[in-house]
Amino acid sequence: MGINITTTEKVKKYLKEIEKKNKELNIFLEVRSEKELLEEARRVDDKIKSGRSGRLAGYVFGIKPNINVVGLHASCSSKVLEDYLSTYDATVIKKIKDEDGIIIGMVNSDEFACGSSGETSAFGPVKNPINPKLIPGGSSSGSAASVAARFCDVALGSDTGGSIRNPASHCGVVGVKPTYGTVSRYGLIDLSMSLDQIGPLARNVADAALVLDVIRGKDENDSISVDVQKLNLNELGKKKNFRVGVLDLEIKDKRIQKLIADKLDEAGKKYNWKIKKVSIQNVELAIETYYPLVYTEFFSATRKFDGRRYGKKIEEACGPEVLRRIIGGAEITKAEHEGRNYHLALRVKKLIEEEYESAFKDFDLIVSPTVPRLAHKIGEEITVEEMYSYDALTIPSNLAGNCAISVPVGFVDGVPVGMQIMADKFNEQKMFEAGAMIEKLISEEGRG
Amino acid sequence: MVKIGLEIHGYLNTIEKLFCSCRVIHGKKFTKANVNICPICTGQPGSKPLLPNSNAVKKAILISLILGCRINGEVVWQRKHYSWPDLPKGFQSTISGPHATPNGVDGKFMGIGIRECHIEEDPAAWNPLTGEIDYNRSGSPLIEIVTDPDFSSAEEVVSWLGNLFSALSYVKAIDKNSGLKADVNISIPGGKRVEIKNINSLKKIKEAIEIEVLRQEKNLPRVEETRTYNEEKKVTTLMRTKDSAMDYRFISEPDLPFLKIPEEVIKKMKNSIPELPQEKIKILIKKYKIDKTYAEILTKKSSLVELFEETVKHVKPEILIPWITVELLGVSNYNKIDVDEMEINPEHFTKLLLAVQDGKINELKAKEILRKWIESSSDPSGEIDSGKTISGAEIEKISKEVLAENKKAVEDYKSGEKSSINFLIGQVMKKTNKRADFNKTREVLEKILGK
Repeated sequence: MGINITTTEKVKKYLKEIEKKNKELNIFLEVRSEKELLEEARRVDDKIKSGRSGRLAGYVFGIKPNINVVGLHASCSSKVLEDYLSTYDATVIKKIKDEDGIIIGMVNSDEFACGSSGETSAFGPVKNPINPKLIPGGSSSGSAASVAARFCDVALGSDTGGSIRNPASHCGVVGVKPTYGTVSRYGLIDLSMSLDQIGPLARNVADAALVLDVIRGKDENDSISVDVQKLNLNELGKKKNFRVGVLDLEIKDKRIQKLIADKLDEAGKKYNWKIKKVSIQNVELAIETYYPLVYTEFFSATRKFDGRRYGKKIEEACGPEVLRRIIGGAEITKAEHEGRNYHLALRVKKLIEEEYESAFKDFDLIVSPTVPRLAHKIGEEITVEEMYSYDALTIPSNLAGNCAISVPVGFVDGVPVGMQIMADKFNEQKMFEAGAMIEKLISEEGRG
Repeated sequence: MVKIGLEIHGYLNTIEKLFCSCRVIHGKKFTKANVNICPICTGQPGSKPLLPNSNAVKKAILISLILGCRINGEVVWQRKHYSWPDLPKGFQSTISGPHATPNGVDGKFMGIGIRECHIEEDPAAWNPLTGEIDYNRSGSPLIEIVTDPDFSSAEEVVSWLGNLFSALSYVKAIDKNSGLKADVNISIPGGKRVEIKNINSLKKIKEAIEIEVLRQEKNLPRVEETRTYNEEKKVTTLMRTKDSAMDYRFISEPDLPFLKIPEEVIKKMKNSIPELPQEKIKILIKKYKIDKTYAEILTKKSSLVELFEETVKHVKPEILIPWITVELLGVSNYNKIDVDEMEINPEHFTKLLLAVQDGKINELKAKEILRKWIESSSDPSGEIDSGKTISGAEIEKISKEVLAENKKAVEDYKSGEKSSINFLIGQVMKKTNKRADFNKTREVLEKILGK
């Protein structure tokens, strides 16, 4: 990418697209001034010319509004923080800027990352660029949609239970949930501290891998973060033998299950992968384990939004899904329960983590659909349980703390469908290699 | 009998705050508002704690050891949630609460049971009158010491606290400039327990206990309650009863890893603790045959007792003791500087006192040198040489000059106003740069003037 086109031209092109279509798609909440962006782009082009440019020179980023970028609004798509201007850069933002990436603006999302459809934003629902009648998924709705709509090259999202992979799947882009602790959360406004990870969304696996390689690594400002090895990006797209487990789980929508099974089958034949069914006992407990953790930690994380410092008191200014989680968290953490529910959930999380660790002794990768349902129509009434079920297949990776990527593999009923490829903790290299192989398979089919 | 228990909060003596690298400097006396702050200690959205300040953790363990506590090597931070203007994150980070393992438990110090010792962070400073908040204090490391209700009078509480602080000064764990705060719980037979929150001086603690005991005797508490002490009106007033007790909704901190302090480290710290005041008093009396009163003064401060033990190797205790307990403490009081903060090198001190002991310089000259040692001492050799006591013949010569220059005073003396001799002695001292012996000068002057 960026071979025949300067950064300046590209920024101009993106600004034009945004100007033309953002009103309808409601993807960007805030776009930086054209003057500022073009000056920055020219500086990057000068650097490229003189051969002194960083690894992300020429890349234009959209940022989820729960990540602090100094001088821009980290509103979390909420009335609560609509006037909150970041006073500092998140560590990931600092790294992107250091490598000459350009941040074009802040995108829309579910409010405080609470949602799976992009409909809970206080600033109106995000629309799916593939079909504007449909939800784009969530909560990193605008991150996925901005990449799909060609408003930017790549975007950052955050993934707590699928919030990167789910909209990536619905919008037909690549989305990555990195191993817990490998990307600094400093500057990410919390949803659930034990589960949150920042990750990239991109139009192809290579771009996602490059961005992740830049943003990950130990950061003393996130005491939980750990160090990692550099990715070997040259290996992407090469043929590798993998032992692949297919998650043994019946989902309701057989069309999705069949599409994933077929594509994996083709990959197995083409690349000589050993494919076997794998069953994870506790995967059925994922949603029940996930929500007590999220409610509790979100309750705790939002206590600072008491109306004294950043505008509005959260309970008074937020939407129903955010309020549901706060009230739930306040109930779970009551002294009379003696911490039972939260600690029980942490124990089950540990069980699921151990079960995956042991499964990855036999398999390099575990594959499933990213989302078990197709995107619904914006405004269509669905139950809370139905909404929560969107994340049934993505949550396990957050609970286990491992890494997973969603790669687009086709359409059902005209709606994009993603394949989730999960790898053991710190095995992003394998995950990207497999993702690039699937991507290649799909693109060759498209041409053939 | 009245039962009294304490929760004592003191500032741990560290350079940086607990979860960020901001300096621990706060209070109007020392700095402007809101200068030692960052996204972490102001609780900006998205900020996370750094790993806890290891010096703070060490000092908390040291204090726990001094208080005879059993040490928990596993440090699991907790979030204690409550809503208050001074609390930027909406929760306080602490090692207390129902799911916590405090740094130290089950101790005993000078007859009083210690329930637990733990670290926590200080909130910001909120001024309810102006609404201003100063975050300099926010995130400073505090130690909280919780005693059993083993006290039975205000005097007992105050004297025990005095001993506690003198023991803690031995390991330099507490920053006394930043003050102390205590919550006091009091119950009298047949009544419920009442807690008085946030009293910030020994004097007020004593007053509050005495006033609250009298109040309870007149009006036996039927429910547990929390009260506050009003110093001006000399009364305690109700804040809340147990029914409306706060639920802090404690959870373990997900943003910090479990920390484990190895057994060897704790053992090493245990061995590093010096003898504490109570043992030290006995040693001083026995070894140097000094009065208990002086032994008590010397042991109040670790710096004093250290200075004494070094200097007494060369200087006789009877000369040394007044120079520490009267003169050095005098300099400390006069300059309002804690004697622990004055860096007095025992070698310098020894040189000075040997010069006095050997009659090389007079006491006046020695005091003059000592008074310059406010923040730290310096080698007194030069001043001792130039300030050597001068001979009787020289005093006589200078005295004659002084008498010739001060005819008025001489006349006064002769006409019966004997006190004017003091003025004349002063003039001699001035001329000799305080090198003349005081008594000798008086003798000489009297001789010349004729009695």
